[in-house]
Amino acid sequence: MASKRHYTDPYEYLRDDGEVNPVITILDALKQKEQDSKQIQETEQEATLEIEKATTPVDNTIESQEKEYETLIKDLLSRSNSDNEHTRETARNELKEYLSGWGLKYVNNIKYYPLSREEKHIIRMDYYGTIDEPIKIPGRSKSTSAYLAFINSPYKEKLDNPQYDLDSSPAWNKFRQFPRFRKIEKQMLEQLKAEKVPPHLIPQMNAYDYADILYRAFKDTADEYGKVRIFNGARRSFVKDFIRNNEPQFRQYLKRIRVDDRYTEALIEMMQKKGITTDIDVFDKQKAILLLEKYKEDNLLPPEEEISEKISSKQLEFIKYRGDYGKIALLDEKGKPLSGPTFTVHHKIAVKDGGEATYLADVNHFENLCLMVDEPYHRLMHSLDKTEISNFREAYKARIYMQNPHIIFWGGISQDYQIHYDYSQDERSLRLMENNYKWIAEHLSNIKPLPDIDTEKQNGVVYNNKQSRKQKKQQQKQQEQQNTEKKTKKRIPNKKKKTEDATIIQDISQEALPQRQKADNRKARIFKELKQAYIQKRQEKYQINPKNNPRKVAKIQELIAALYQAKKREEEAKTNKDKLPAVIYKDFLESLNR
Amino acid sequence: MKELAQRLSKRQNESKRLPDLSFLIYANKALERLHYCGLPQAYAEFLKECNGFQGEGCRLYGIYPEQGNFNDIVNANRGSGDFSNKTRIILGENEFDYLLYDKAKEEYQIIDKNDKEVLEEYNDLEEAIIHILKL
Repeated sequence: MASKRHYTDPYEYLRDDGEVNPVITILDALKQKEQDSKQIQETEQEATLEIEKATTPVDNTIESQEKEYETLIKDLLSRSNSDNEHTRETARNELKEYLSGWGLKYVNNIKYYPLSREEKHIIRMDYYGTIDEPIKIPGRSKSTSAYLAFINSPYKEKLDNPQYDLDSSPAWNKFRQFPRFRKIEKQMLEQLKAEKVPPHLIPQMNAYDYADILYRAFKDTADEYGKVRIFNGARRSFVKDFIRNNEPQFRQYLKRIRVDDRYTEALIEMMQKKGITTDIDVFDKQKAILLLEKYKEDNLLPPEEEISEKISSKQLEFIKYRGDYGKIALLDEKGKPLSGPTFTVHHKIAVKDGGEATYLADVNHFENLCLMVDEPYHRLMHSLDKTEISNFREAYKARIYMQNPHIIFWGGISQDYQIHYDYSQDERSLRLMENNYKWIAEHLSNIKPLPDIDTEKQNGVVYNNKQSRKQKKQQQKQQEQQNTEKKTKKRIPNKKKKTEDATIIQDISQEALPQRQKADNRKARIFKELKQAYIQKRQEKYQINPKNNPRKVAKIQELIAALYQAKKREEEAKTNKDKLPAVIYKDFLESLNR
Repeated sequence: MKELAQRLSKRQNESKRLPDLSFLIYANKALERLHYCGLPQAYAEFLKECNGFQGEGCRLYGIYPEQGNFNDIVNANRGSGDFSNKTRIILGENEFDYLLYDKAKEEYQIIDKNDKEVLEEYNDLEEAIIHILKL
């Protein structure tokens, strides 16, 4: 008689209120104890066999302590996500008590300066080094309407040697804060010429427009997912830099957690070559060579294909494509493919936490990054994250921070499972950072103030794809004018568009500050709005016509510029000019402790 | 979609078991029991071919009902704070953003983890998955 398969709910341990069923937890705990005791026996046997190797008796106690910490952290994380408020709060309070002993600090009420969508997009492109295929669906694209209208037009005007003034582009000046984007500026310019983008469009283009241009420039290298890699990205560069500076310590860590040596070799090789920690192929090279030679005999590979000990990634892909990877993959004692822990990269401070990291590029600087074991440590770092927005303006957040600013690898609570590296002593890193600040100070501060771009117009187009109120009024006026023109049937000479006075210094100059400051973008925006309102009032009161009284307007502009410069100088005087640039995280920690 | 799921499944180093159909049903029931939005149909179909994905700081949640396994879609949504609720469910994440399904708007959203701003919206799951996986 065939036995029926009985399925019990695997999620039975979760009660309706989100609590974990205590009966099942007891059973789980018993099972866990059995497994632990088996594991301890196995580890003891292994330890006796490996006495001649690097492990000392102290390492075994550290290892068991780390496992206890891991279990504790997983338990706390599980309870801190309970739907039961009491359980959740108790677990969170317990977690907060443990943090200082683990070299961490919980900070509540950090002032947070939200970034614009474009700034976030640029940071992500710089971090990952890739651009996704742009959305072409009308109404959903984040590109400006002017750019979309141009790029989708079948007829494009021929341009004879167009000159693009990138200084006039607020969006590209944000890209330029990142050294990686500066390196590809030439390719971007060439693509602008190839696409016959008119120079007058440059000041209006936003970050998504430039992303589209860059995508087109590197389109030939698109992968199977339609993504294009424009450079290596901060993430991969950091992983490469990490393994270059800390290979022996990282090997020691992998040995401590008993990762197979063959996997370790393959992992370190991938980290050095590509800056990645996944897709690690561990295979028998000799078997792979034999297999490739067999493919050659069967005419599956061209006769001129070179087969050597250095198996290329294409050859490996072909083996996988043929479904023969299982024949060459190296397996552990249990017959499973070799594997190791999953790593992720953590940002120690997010952009503009408490006003620090005023340059966007500082977010992705190596000093701000930390390679971490995903479960449970990266999850722990984000377990108490919270963002609150009050009055629709000011945002405050709670987060866990590391007390030691020099941690670049976190594999456990014990110091033996962490790697420290002081980037302020790293000559290469210091040089890159100082060069970046110098470049920004020299180039972005010399940009002349230009006619103000109507941000309401731009934002309305980008974020809503709808007309703003101002745009609607203007359109109505235009329609009325056209109607009256038709009635009178008069030939009205083409009026030149009134260029708005260059009354407001562009945002660029704020960002082109020669030194790092604790710049408050929100205050700058309010200041800008006040200036605009002041000028409008003046114009209305004295009926200033820019055509008739250019001198008066220029005087007002000078006054405003002088006021702004004076304010900047005051703020500059407050900051410590002698600080080394490469101490972002250290300064931030000190500010927390004040 | 099926092709993408199979391609991702092959990239996994470990042999990730595909979920039983009944496990998918239990996961959906658990989500509803805990007052979360149920699995969107397209994602359930995706899970049948590829039980989640993990790599380079990116993750798509699967069906791993063991207690404390945060690769499991139910456990992950429990641990997401107020991102997920009756009308929204988190399907994946990377180091900056969450991939969310909004039942009310019937669209997939990429949301900034820091300030919950919606950065991108997609009608197609495949496009949303390609965006969140920065491989």
